[in-house]
Amino acid sequence: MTGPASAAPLLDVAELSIAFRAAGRQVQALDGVSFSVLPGEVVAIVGESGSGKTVAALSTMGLLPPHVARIGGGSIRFEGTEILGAAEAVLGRLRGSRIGMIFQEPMTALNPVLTIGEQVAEPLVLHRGASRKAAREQALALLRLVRLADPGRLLGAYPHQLSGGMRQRVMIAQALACEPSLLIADEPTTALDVTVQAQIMALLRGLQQQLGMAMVLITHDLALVSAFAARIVVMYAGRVVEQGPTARILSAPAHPYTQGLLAATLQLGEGRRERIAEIPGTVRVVSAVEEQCYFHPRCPHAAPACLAGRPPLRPVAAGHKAACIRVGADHG
Amino acid sequence: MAEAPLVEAAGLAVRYGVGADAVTAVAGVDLAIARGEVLGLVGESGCGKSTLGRAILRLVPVHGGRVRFDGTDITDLPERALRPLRPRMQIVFQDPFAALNPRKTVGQAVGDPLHAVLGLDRTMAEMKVAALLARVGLLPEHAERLPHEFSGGQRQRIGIARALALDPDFIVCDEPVSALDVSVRAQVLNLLADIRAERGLAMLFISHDLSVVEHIADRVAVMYLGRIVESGPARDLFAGPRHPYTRALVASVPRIGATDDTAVPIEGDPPSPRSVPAGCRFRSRCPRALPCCAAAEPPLAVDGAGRLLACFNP
Repeated sequence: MTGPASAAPLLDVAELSIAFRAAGRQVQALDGVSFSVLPGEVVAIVGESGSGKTVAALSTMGLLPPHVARIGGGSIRFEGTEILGAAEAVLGRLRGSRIGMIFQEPMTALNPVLTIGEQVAEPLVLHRGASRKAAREQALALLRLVRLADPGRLLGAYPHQLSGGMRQRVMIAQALACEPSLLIADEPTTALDVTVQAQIMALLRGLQQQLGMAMVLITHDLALVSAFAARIVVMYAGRVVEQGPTARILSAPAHPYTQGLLAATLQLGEGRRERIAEIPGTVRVVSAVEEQCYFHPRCPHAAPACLAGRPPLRPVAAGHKAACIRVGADHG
Repeated sequence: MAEAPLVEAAGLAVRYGVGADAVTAVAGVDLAIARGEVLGLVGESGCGKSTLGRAILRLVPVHGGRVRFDGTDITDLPERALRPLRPRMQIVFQDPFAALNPRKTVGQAVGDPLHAVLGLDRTMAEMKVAALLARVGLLPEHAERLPHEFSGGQRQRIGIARALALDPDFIVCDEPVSALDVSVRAQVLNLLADIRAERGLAMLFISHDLSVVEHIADRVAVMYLGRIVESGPARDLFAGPRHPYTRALVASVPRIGATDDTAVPIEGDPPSPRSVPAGCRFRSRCPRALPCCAAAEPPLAVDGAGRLLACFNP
C-alpha cells in the first residue's frame, strides 16, 4: 500500500494559505497547511465543519473560485508540477486525467441531462481522444469495474433513475476513466446509508489496491478511516494540528483536539456511557491569521503560552507530528 | 410491565399519495413506550422511521391502526379534542433552523407557547424562557437574538428548549444530532440524557446512527421498509443482533481500531417503498432467504431469547 519511504511524494502541499472573501466577510480557510501523499498511499484528512479539509482538496484540483479565493502563499506540487497559479490548460489536463475526484453528493456532480454512458465516457473522449465507439466500450468496462449490475442497460440511463449508491459508483467510474494516479474522495459516503457506505468503502479499497493509485480521503469520521488510511492528517480551523500513521493517531493522539474528538466518538458495542466526553464550545471560524493556538478556547490544557503564537508541527514520534506547545516540551 | 404504556401504537399504517402513486411508508407497526423510557428507532433512509414518529404525534394522517397516548385513543380525535394533549407530546427536529421562524427572536420562539397555551403573562413567560435557556446551556441575553445568529449546536439547544417549554411527558427526537459535528454532538447528547433523567421524559429517539442510539436508548426497534423487523433492549440487540438485516446494519458500522475494510455485510440498496417485495420485505437483500420467505410475511413475534423478531430463518 505504502510506497517506499524514499519515494518522492506524488502530491506535496507546503505552507498553503488561502483566504476567502465573500459578502464583505473574510475567512482564513487555510493557514500554512502542509502535507504530502506518496504514490499509492492512502491519506485521510479528518476535520469538522470549517476545518478547511475540503478547501485543501479543491485547491489541489485547482478548483477554487478565483474571484473569492485569495492565495496567501505556499505551493502545491503534483508529480513535480506546480499547480498553484498554473494555466487552466495545465489544470484541465490534470483534472480527470491524472487526478480524479469524487464528491459527497453525486447528484450535483453528475449532469442530469446526459446519460450515464456519455458521462463515464466523457473524460476518455476529452483526455484520450478516444473514438465514440471505443469510449463506449471502455465505459462499459468501467461500469463493470465499479461492480454495477447490468452495465449495458445503465449506459442509456439518466442519473435520476439510479439510487444514491449507484450514482456514487458511476461517479467513481468517471473519476477512474483515465486511470489517475491520485483519487481525491471528499466525504464520499456521508450522504449514504450505512450498509451502502460499507459497500462503497470496500469498492474504493479494492480499486485502490488493484490500480495502485494514491488516495486522499476527506472525512469527519475517524472510525471510517481506521482501516482505510495509512496516515491521518487532522485539521482544525484551517490548520493541520496533527498528522501521523493511522494506528498511532487513533491509539496515542498527541494533540488535545484529536484526543477530544476520539473521546467524543461513540463506538457501537460499548453500551451506554455514563457521560460522553465533551469538547466545550463550538468550531470557530478564523477571519484572519492570529498569533495564537486556534484551539485554545476549547482546550482543557490551555495555558498563557498558547496565546504567544501559532504552535508549529513538532515531532512526537517517527512520522508523527502535532502542533501543540505541550509536544516536545518537558512535562516533568 | 404492570403500568400501562405512555405511548402505544397498534397496527399503525401511513400512506402517502393516492391510487397508483400511493406509497405505504408505515405498514402496520406495533410499539409501546413506557413513562420515562427511551425507545430508539433505527433504519435506513426511506424505511419510514420519521413518518412513524410524526404519525404517533398525529402530525401526519394515520390510515390504519391505533395510537394511544396515556390511555386515550388519539387516532381519530379531532384537532380541538387533541389540543389539551398537544403540550404533553413534543418533537425535536434534525434541523431546528428549518423549524424556527427566522424573524422571531429566540425568546419569542421559546416563549410563544407559554402565552398561547399556558396563558402566562409577559413577565412570567420571560422568566420561564430565561430558565429554559439556562437549562439548555444558553445565556439570558440569547433570548433577544434571531436564529441565524446561532451555530448548529446552539440552534439544537433552542429546539430542545422550545420542546421543553410546556413540560411534556414525551418527546419525539428525529435525528437530533445528525447534522452536528462530533465535538458538538457529545454536548447535545449529554444535555438530552440529563434532561431525560431530571424530568422522567419518555422519548422516541429516531436515528440512522446505531452508536448514538445504543448510548441513549433503553430499547431499540429496527425498521425496514415500513415494518419493525427486530426489537429488544439496546445493549443486547446491538451485542447480538438476530435479524439478518440488523446483523448487516451492525456489521456495516465503521469502528475505530478496525483493520479490515473489505467486508461487505450486505449488497444492494434499500428498495424503494414503491416496490416492496412480496412476502418478507427484506428477502431481496437477505443472504438467508428461503423459498417460504416469498410466500408470507414473517410476523413480529417473541423468539426463544425474548427478542421480538420478524424472520423465518434467523
